[in-house]
Amino acid sequence: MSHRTDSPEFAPGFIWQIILLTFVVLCFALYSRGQEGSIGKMGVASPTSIFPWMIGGKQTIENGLRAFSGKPPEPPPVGDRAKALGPVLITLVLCPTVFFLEWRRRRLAKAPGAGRPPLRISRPFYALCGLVTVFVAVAVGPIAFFGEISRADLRHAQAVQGNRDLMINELNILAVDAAQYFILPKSFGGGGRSFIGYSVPQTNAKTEGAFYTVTATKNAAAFRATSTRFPSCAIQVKVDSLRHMREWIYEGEFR
Amino acid sequence: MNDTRTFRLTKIDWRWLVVTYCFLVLFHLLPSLLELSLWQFLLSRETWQFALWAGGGIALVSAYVGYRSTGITILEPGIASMLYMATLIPTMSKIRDIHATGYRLVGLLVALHLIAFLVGCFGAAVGEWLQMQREKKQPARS
Repeated sequence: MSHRTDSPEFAPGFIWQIILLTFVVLCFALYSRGQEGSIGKMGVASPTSIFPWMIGGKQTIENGLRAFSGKPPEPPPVGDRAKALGPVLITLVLCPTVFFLEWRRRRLAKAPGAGRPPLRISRPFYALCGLVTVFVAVAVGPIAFFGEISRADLRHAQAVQGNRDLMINELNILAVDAAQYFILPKSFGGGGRSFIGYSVPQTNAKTEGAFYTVTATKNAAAFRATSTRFPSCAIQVKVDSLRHMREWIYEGEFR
Repeated sequence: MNDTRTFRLTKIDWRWLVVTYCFLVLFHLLPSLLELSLWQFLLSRETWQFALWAGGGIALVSAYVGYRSTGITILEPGIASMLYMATLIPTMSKIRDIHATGYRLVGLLVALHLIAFLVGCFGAAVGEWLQMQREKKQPARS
């Protein structure tokens, strides 16, 4: 035995209590590692994270995949709800409560010059709760901030892409209209094998997504669509006598 | 200073060894797991970054143990750090994913355990030094 066994460094039962606590934590670590391995293949962050929006993000992706397959979204399973709720209660309720109550108790019971007390399980538990509280307080801000930025970027990119798709669709409709004008004889209000005189119909000149202008020559009609939501974004395309759309030019964020 | 400060390499207090290992799991592994999102955001789990992160945590916990324990406690944190590294590698690192032949991988693992031992001993020695400084000041106050 050591020369220090007679010194009251540890409170009775401290060693077994801390071994038990460590065992629980190790089981949690191994479990979370396994979970990360199985879910990491889907590219989703670990569900053992203390941040519930990670699990919310996973649920959103799953609902998106279901919607893509034509299925209605499903509410999250009870297991996922528990995985989100459990860490939130532990890290945002239990740990700060224990930490601040114990901190207050220590301040009130502080006896100067009382010497160093033996290690009790309450001390590492208090330190652990304090650590988790500080970590959460430090980490939540940056993660929420950068998460919101990336979500806003994603929403913006989706909006730009949706606007672009809408404009391409409307340009296709205008191309058909221009081709009809090209084919129709002048006596029927057409161009008589020419695009000259063609203008965008009033109903299509300005839509929800863009406004359209055309520059017509004999053999081609050059359309320019400028986005109303993103004014720096535009599409230019030429329609020839065979109704082929060519020379697509994308401007701004459409590139 | 009293005579319990005699440096005895062969005497190992198993209780401090166990407690150091437990402290490492509780105050290094658990916060790292809880903060996995931030951890992945700040650092990847590549080998050298992993070693840096693990070494820092081991040094801090060992320093606390060296400071908190009565007498000289240097070997115990060192051994506990080695054991902790053996726990840490399968749970947190991506070392098993690196492309290395058997000898290189074994060499890397041995090196990491050795570094953990040395860092643990170094941290504990720093803690002991801080404890001695504190003990020197205490009689002067009284």
